[in-house]
Formats: sequence, C-alpha cells, structure tokens
Amino acid sequence: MIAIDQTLIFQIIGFFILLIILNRFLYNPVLRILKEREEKISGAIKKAAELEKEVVEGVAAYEKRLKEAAVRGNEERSKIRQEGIDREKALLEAARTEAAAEIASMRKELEASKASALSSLKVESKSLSQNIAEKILDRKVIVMLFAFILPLLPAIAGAAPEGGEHGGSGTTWKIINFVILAVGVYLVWTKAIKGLLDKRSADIKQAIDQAKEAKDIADRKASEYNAKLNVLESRIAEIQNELRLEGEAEKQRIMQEAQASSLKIKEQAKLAAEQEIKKARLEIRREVAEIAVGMAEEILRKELKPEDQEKLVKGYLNNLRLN
Amino acid sequence: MKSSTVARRFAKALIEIGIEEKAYENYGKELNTALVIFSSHPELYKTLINPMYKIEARRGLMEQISASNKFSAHVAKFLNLLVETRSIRLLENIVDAYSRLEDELAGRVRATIESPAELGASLIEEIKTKISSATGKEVVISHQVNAGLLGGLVIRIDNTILDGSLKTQLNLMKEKILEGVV
Repeated sequence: MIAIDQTLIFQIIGFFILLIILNRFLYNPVLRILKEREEKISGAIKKAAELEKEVVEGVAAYEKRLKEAAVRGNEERSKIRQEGIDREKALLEAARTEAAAEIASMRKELEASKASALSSLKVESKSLSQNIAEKILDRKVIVMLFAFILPLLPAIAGAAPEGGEHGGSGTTWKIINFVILAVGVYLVWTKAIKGLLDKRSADIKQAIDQAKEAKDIADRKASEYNAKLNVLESRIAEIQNELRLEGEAEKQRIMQEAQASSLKIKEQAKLAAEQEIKKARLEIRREVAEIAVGMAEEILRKELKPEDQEKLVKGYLNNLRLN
Repeated sequence: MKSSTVARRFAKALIEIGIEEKAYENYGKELNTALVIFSSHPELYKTLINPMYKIEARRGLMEQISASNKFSAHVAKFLNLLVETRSIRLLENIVDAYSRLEDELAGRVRATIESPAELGASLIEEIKTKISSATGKEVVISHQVNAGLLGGLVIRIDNTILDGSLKTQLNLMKEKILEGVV
C-alpha cells in the first residue's frame, strides 16, 4: 500500500537532484555534441551539394562557351575555306574533330568525376547516417536502461517503509536508500555512461572528419575539373587561332602560287610565242636563202663564162695570203 | 698511236738513212714502186700480214719482190721490217710521209688545185708562181676538175685549204641570210 508521507518530499528532492546532475553531466553534453555533429555533417553535405551545383553550372557554362567557340570557328573556317583550298578544309576538319574529341573526352571525364564524387558522397553519407543511427540506438538503449532503473527507484525506496513499519528509523532508511541510489547513479555515470558517451563522441568526431575528408575530396575533384576545363578552353582557343593563321597562310600561299603560276604561264606563253616567231622567221630566212642561193647557183651555172672563171681565179689570187 | 704518226716515224728513219747514203731520192722512188706493186696486187698485203703464214715465208716473199724490182739493200731491209712488224699495211701512209719529208728536204711544196673546168697553162703557172712567192718554196701542182665548185678554185697545200670557189661563197651567203646579216 502506497502511502503519502514525508518520504515523498525526499523523493522529489532526490528526483530534482538527479535531474540536475543528469542535465549537467549527461543531457547537455549529449545535446551539444549532437548539435555540433549535425552542424558539421550537414555543413559538409551542404558544401558537397554546392560543389555539385557549381560543377553542373560550370559544365553548362562551358558547353555554352564551347558552342559559341565552335560557331565562331565554323564561321571563320567557312570564310577561309571559300578563299582557300581543300587542304585548309581538311586541316579545319581535323582540328575540329580533335577539338570535338577532346571536348567529348573531357565531358566524359567530367561526368565520371562527377558521378564518382556523388557516389563517394552518397556512400559516406550512408555510412554516416548508419553510424548516427547506431549511436542513436545505443543512446536509446542507455536511456531505456535509465527508464528501466528509474521506475525501480521508487520500488527500491518503497521497500524501506514496508520494512520500517515497525521502527522509527524509516527516514534514516530512506536517506540511506537515497544515498545508495545516488552512489549507484554516480558509479553508473562515471564507469559506464561517461565511457559510452566519450566513445560515441569520438565516433561522431571521426564521422565528422570523414565528412570533412569527403568534402575535401570533392573540392579537389572540382578543382581538378576546373583546371582541366581551363586547359580545354585555352586549347580550343589555341586550335582556333592556329586554324585561322594556317588558313590565312594557306590562302596567302595559294594566292602567291596562283599569281606566280599565272605569271609563269604568261611568260611561257610569251616565250613560246617568241620561239614560234623566231622559228618562223628562221624558216622564212632558210627558205629565202635556199631559194636565193639555188637561183644564184642556176644563174651562175648558166651565165658563168671562161673569162669570168679566169677573172674569179685571178681576183682570188690577188687577195691570197698565206699566213 | 695514230697510223700517220707511225708512218711518219718509219719514213723519217728511212730518209735519214737515205740522207746519210745520199740516196734518199732513190729510196723514195723505190718506195713508190713498191706502193704501185702492192696497190696493183692487194692480195699481197693480205698475204704479208696473215699470221697463218710463217714469218720466214712472208719475209721470203718480200725479199723476192725486192730482188725482182732491184730495190736497194736498205729499202729491202726496210720493207722486211714492215713485214715483220705487220706495218706493211701502212705503206701508203709511209710513202706519203716520205714524199713530204723529201719535199721539205728539197724545199718543195705540193699544191692541189680544184676548179670547175680545166685551167689554162698560163693560169696554172700564175697560180704556181703566186704560191711559190707566198711560201718561198718550189711548188709542185696537181690539178683536179670539180664541177660542183661552180666557179673559182680550191687550193690545198698540205693541211691548208684555200677555198675561193663560188660554191663556198654561195654557202657563206646562205649562212649570212640565215643569221640575218643580209
């Protein structure tokens, strides 16, 4: 039979004392640790999400820039191609293919890096959540122990009045019970609960470190991705510049060659014409000479008389000189 | 070595002996006689240079020719030497070289005149005088008719050709027309 007497006051006092002690040494540290852990873990996750968002935005921006670069390159290439030859077109196509392959490769690598980072974060988040759940479960077990013990305290304390009905030292026994309870709680706190809390605190700290490490990995991957994208951009610019310069040089060369060829053709035509003229003149001269000499020979054969022959011989002899 | 050079050496060797013996003119006549014989009988050349016949037989044949034509001993030996060295085929060149050496010794030059028609004796004599005065040597002239010359004449003195023919003048005129000079 439960009776309401002065022991109720002692029990209330004991309850509050226990509440104060628990608040001081158990609930507040636990809540503080949980809050800190939540902040760190949620901060890491938030940061990882921000990185992911940044990477996605970066990809979108780069795709846009690549498209713009491709459009500019195509416009310039088309302009040069109209003025150049097929070799220029081949170079542009090759460069374009190379650029597209690099872009595709970089996109693939980017997607892989992104998926890897997300996968790692998911795995680590899952692990963290599992650890947290386990810690929570452990705490619940301990809380349930307290919940199991606390209801027993009144029963333990209530055993005294039953035993003390025959003596006037019932109050003394209650005090003793309280002291024993306090000592028990103290012992349980110092030996078991505090150890468990310390261990859990270290585990949570480890989880936070892991989350931070995951965030660092994500930062590093994002940094590597940005570096690669920067290289890709400069590469695209370089390729475009090279294409433009090559196209201009090719165009210039083609024009020079065309001009040189044109001049050469004209010179050759002029030379051929001159040769033809010279040949024709020579043929005319030869024909004239043949005809003239042939006619002269005929005339001489007909008209040359002995006195002419003698005159020729004498004339030659008069002019004859030997050495 | 050119055959003309070899022939000249043979001729010079023989004429030096002839000079010593004071019989080079006679040697020259004997060489000409031998040349006439070999030219009349070409088979003699073939026999004398044919190694199928023993050298003694070939030498004997040459000695018989020399004996029958009463060649002097040096000329006979000279011809035997030509047979032994198989240089008898150069006999015509040797005779020609010998004649030139003879002419040099006698102070003569041989001139060949070509003309489209026969030349009068006075004109030939005039040519001879002109060449003689120009060379300072006695001139022996031979004349050939070459209708292709049309007119004028061509004089050959040793290796010198003096071309005064109308044919050559017409050819020169043709060249000038082709060159555009005319």
